[in-house]
Amino acid sequence: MQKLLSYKEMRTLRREMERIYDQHRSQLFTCALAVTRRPELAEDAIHEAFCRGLRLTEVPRNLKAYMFRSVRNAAIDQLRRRRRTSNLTQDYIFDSSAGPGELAEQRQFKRLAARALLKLSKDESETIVQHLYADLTFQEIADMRERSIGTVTSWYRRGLTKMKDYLEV
Amino acid sequence: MNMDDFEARLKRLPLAKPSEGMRRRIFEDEPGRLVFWRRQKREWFVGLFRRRIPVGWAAAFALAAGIAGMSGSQMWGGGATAPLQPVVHVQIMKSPSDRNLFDFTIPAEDFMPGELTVNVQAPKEI
Repeated sequence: MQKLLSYKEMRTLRREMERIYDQHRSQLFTCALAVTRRPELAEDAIHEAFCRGLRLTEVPRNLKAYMFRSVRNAAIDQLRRRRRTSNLTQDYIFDSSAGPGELAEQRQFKRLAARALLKLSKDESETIVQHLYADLTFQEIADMRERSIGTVTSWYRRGLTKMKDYLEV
Repeated sequence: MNMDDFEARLKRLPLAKPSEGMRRRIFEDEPGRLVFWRRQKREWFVGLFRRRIPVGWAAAFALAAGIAGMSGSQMWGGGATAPLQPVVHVQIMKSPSDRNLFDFTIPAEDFMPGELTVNVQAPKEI
């Protein structure tokens, strides 16, 4: 028989999900964007993943890792369903609105980093985004991708080296 | 620039953010809100019927309900009870012999030749 959450557990789950969204919304969006490469698809993926999360019948041990995984899966689904929808943003996963103190050099670095990320293989760029920007550990990424921790680490190192070479820094 | 510095520089880059209405879209608008509340309502009802009730409690409840039902039907005249008959008192005033008139083992021609007075009393309405 399917286990049902009690009234109290459901409220706790909702509160936890709201907390995860508030704390990690940028990271979740970045991870989704790394897969879809289109902001509107990334938003739809987050929406879909959270709506699925609200229907959970059992609370996962690591809800944060679960939500990142769920967002990634939803992003892959979104990409499959609507492959050609709109153009890619120039800054990819980075904030395109220039801050008041942002120098031209920093803006240039941001653009180049976005381009470099897009030149990497999907596995490499996704791992860099998940580890560097979403603060997921290599173990969490390995669990999410169902690969060994060694594979994930090598994707990360190789991707970072390629980026560094591209940016010539 | 070594790899650690490069990593740190990359990490400092500001990330894109989802639109402002995203939170409302997930948690307050439909279907996010409805998904949660509908589910909560449905599971409350389902949970009510999926509660484990001890067999002893169920049996005791069934027994109590049965007794209450029976006593109720007796108290309020429910069920198939026979209608009340008028009370008939038969009084034999005079007997021609000393023979027991209710002894039917002996055939007799003078069976109850005497006078009979019958008193009929109607039952009181309940």
